Amino acid sequence: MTDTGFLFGPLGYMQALDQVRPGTTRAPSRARGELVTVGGVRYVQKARHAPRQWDIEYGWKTPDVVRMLMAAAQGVLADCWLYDVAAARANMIPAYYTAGTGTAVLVAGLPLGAVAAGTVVTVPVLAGRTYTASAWSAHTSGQTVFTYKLGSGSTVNATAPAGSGARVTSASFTPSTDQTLTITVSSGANVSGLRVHEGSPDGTWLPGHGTPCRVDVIDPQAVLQLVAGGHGLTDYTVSLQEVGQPGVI
Amino acid sequence: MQVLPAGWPADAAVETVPDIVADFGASAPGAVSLADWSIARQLTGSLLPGQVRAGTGFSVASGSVSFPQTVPPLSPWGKGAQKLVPGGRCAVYATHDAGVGRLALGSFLASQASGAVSDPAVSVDLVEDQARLRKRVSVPGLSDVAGTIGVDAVWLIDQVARTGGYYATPKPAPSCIGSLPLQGSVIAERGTATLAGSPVAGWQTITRCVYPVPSGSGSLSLAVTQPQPHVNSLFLTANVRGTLTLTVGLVAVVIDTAARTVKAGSGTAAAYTAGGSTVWPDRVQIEVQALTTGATYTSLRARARTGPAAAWSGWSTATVSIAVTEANTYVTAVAVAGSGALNGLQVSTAADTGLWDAPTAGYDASGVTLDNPILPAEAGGWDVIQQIAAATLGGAWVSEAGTLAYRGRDWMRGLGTPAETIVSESSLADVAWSIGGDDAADRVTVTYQPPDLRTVTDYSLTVWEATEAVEVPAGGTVTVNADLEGTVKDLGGWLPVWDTVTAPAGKRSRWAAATSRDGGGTQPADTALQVTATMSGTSRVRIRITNTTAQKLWTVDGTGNPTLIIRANLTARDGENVTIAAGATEASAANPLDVDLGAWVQRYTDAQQILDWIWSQVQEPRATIQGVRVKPSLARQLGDIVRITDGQTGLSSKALISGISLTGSPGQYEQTLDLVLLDITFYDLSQNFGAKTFAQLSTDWAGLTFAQVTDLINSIGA
Repeated sequence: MTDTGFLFGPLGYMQALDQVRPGTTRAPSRARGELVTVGGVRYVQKARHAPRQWDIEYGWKTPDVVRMLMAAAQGVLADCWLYDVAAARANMIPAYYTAGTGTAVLVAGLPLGAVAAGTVVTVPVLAGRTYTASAWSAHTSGQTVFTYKLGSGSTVNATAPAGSGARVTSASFTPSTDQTLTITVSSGANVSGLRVHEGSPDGTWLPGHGTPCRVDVIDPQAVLQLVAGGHGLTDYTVSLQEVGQPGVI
Repeated sequence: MQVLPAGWPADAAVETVPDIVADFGASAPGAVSLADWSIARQLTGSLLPGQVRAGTGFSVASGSVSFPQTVPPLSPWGKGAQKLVPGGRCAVYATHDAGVGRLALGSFLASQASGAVSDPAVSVDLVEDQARLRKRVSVPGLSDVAGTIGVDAVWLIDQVARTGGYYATPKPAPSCIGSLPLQGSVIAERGTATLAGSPVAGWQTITRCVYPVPSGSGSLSLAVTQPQPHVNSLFLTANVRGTLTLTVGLVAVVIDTAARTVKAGSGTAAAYTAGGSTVWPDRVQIEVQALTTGATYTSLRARARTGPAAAWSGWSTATVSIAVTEANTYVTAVAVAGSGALNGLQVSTAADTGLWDAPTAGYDASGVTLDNPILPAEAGGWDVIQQIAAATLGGAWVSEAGTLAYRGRDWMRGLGTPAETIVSESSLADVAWSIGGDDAADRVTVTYQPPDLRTVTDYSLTVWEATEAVEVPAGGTVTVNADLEGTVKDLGGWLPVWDTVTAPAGKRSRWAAATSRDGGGTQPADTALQVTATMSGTSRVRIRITNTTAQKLWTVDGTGNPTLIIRANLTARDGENVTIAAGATEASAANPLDVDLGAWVQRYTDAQQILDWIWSQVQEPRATIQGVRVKPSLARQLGDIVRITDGQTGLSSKALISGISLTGSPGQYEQTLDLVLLDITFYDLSQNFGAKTFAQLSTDWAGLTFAQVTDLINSIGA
């Protein structure tokens, strides 16, 4: 499969955004506030989520390449999601769910708070791609660290590998259709560093913002370059803004 | 301070702000995450001048929230779930995660909503939800109040609050046959309570409850009516501290909360486990069973537990051996004596879970005793609570979690350990103070109103006389409402005016009747009219007159004068105002302060204490600290006592949070506080020096000047 960098559309109907120009920007913005006391002590507050914005450009293209984006911008295509392949290869689970407030677990060398046992995370996954779900914990070998299921399929246990101390438990699978992956954290030991990524197990952990995510499309800006029969050729600039609560489908 | 939910992130220099949610319940838009929001609480409405005002009065919270417009949009003319209607309930809370609990920020009513087609957000103004306290209230008459004991003013607050569904102690459970809340009075809610011996008319506050202090010889008994058929097993549930003896029928059951034992008569004490209830640390439930063998009542046994699902202790059994009779075997009274404290007592025939309902109110003793607790005829519940809070120099408000709080003047003056220390250098954006001479006074007068209480035993106090004749048709019944001046208790039975044999003239309630309006005709029989009078409210009597004859009758005497006279054994009316003063004489005072406490303060000693305190506070200008931005904590609450220090100005003082304002926008929220600086109290001195002898203090303070010792005392913290 040739990856184009982005897939877009309603869940279950995602299509690749072809022929995107290099140089797409992905900009998270996190609301924050600060207080500096009379003694000069600074305190910072920040929001849990940092919604992202993608600015995508096309050069000398016919309108068919932006038809989905345009339809979404005009509101005729409802509830659209963006699948950022690069982000999916890092971590598809939003930061909010990847670690919790419990006792720290060493996740690839980083102390991250444990998530509560029973925590449920859902991630939309695409057909034909190989995904790996992983989590870090000090469960004894063979103990279930987390369970996962695809769509309404059967629940599969992901069990801790041999060894001791905090280590990664991974499970790979390739969905046959677009569906939802549900991960449930098991009890027994502290679990942290939840990760779902596109690819095979790689033994590490990377943070993510949540992929795919619900987006709003700002109407494509067009610069007409050539009018020569048919639709002509146009430069397009499209902005997609992340909306809604990460991790909620 | 509110208790943060389990799992709430610890205080840190970098804070991930919680999600603030407004929950409109079943109304549109349901529970929504907020973009911008604000909530403010401030003590206002005091009788006092600005510099000391902030420490008393009442608070009404207000706020506003805005949230993203939905698709399709909300509007006043929307259909179904899109229809936005003001007036609904709205609970605002903070939350971090599904795994972390909610922290309440207030319960409100949506007063006004606004939006625009072009606006991606909807704004809603919020006002505190006091609907339950708005309705007119009526408190049952003076039963058992009069005499030397009186009631603490907080009893009235409790009575008003109970009508609005706020309970400082659980409401009577379904199987309850006796209930004695003991919130500022010994008046039973169910059953009949009687004080014996020489009780101490004192009320103290323990863990936000008002307990009576039984004197050494005094005892308090609660008579209950056994259900039919009688039961052999009863449950006594109460908040108990110390050692109390509850005499249940013939057997004394001793509760020792220090040793955590329950002991029936001469039986072996049985130990129970504490901590069965998270909301009632002092609550104990005792089950007593009277055991019979044939016609012999053989033993009474008791066991205890501390929560609705906690394990029972073993039984402590007292041997009795007496014939089974109603008086011997079936409990009809519980008497309490001892050195402990008690409130929220319920006697029930089953271990209802409602006996452990979490409190929705909490009070301090007000320190003001009322001999005639009468409510204004036209007052709403919240108005009464406000007036009492203001007149007793206390504070009343509804907390974030929706519970009603009344703090007495001792608390508002700083009788308590600071919940936290706020160091300006590390926690405050600034310390803005102001001080002015306008509020200082050189003379203070306090006006109060002792009631005019009269008591007789022969029904000779006339409380009402008819001014108009009542026409009662043959065989008919007429109801007349009589509004009394003041309160009455123990109405006299009705007799015709000409009957001076049953009772002398001038005693008992009287009626006269004649067959014509001008009093003519023959005198009707003694049974011509049947008259009954019942109290409906504290100062209104409903008179029901039934004509048993076949002729129309008028309630007039032989000369045509309207004759319906209510007499009673006790009357209480508002008395004359009494004014006491401190400071300069009236003639020479340049800036006098007059405080009218009205009928909410009725005793000289209470008024004198209030006067002393006000006088101590207004002789000199005092500084107030308003609107300081502080490193926010959602656990902070109105009425918290904190310690505030500022190294640059040398400020180190206890302070009361008299105003608290929260404003939030995406990714941040701010908190500003109004603070009232509090004087050093004896409580603080006791906390600091209580364990020291004079010799030790003398050594500690050797070589210090008076000024230095004064500074030392002024800077102590409890």
